[in-house]
Amino acid sequence: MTNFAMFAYATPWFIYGGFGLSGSWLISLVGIDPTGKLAVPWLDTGWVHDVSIIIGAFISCLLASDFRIRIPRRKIRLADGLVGGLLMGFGTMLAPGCNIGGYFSAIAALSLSGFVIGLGLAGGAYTGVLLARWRLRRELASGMLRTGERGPGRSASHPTNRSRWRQPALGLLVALATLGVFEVFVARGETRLGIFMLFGLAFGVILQRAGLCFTASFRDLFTSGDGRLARGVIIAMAIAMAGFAILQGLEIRRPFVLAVGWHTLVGGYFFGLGMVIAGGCATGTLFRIGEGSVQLLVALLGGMLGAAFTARFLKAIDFQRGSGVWLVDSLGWQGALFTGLASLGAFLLIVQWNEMRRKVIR
Amino acid sequence: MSKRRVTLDVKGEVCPYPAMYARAVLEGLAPGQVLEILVDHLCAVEGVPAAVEQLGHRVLSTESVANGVYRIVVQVGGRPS
Repeated sequence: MTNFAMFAYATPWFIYGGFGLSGSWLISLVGIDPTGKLAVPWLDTGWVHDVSIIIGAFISCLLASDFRIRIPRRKIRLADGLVGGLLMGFGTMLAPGCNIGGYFSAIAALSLSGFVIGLGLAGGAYTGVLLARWRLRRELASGMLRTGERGPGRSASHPTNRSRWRQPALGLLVALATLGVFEVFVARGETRLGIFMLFGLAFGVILQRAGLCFTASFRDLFTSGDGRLARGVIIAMAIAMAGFAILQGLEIRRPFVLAVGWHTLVGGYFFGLGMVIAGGCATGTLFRIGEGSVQLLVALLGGMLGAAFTARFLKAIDFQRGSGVWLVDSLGWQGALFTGLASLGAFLLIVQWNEMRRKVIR
Repeated sequence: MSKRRVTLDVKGEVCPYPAMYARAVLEGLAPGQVLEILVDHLCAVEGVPAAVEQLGHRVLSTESVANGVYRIVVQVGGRPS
């Protein structure tokens, strides 16, 4: 099921042909991260794209009758969202890049920074898991984890009040409304914005359906060892690498290369820590807001604040980043593609081994 | 055999907590005993079963009981005493 959904996520780069490729490419250039928003309050493509992901996920969630305003019952979770968001905002500005622009797209484009940020993300996620374990132990010790008991025998039922038609009907209405907005964009000569909106909606639907969570793709390796999401992300990156190679090789697009240096590792680390604390990365935060998650709405707020402050701070101290390294420049196409795919292959093997190792056979 | 069903309500919690709580609670139950978990975090609906199966527990059912709320029924692994 998850694998099928992963392929659904990866295929747009194929089935939409050149346009999908350049669209995804542009999207990665703009960055799906919520950061640009405060600096650019007017309607720019990145902003439209981000909001569209939320709306796309909202529509998709409604169609499945799964929407619910999800309010954490413990206030500490709102603090988690805020702190995690702030850390992600800080990390994304320092690195630079989030899990999409800095990691996924950078690796696909064979930018060295992507592999470095990946190490940082893994380290941060591991720290986040240690933190969560420590909190769990404290909660268990203080008896906070309450369970209820029910009599023996068949399930005493939870009230079943699942509406079958209301949510899908609302979902269709919202979908129609977005078509109306698209018409408005086109009528005002802003077709580009309209296209970005459609891409955002599509990504929102796909992310929500697939439950494609970059956070879990790292975190689960350290908790249960479950490698399904990690495998999905690795496969999607390999496919995207092939797509990006065509675009960059034919010089349809300029190479997408980000600065790399100690800041990439440190930024990735704090982003990775933040995403585990908040419960969602850049895209995960957006699609879960569409599902009605209040905790991740707070995380988005934290992310915007953290990114805005960090950007100002870095500018104020005139922070100098290292220069970008494009593997194709240093290794040639063959060497770069081989190195890129071999790195992904090695990661895949680690994921498989880790999963086997943790499985309890009874 | 008057083993009680235990319920764990983790509505409002997001990953990784639903799975961590479920695993912690299952740890304290006897083999064969049944735990009902209520979650409303959609990723946990797939994540919790995977995480408990990894420890050898059996997932009996996963069903939606309200909009966006799911009930996962798990039987503690190992031989019932």
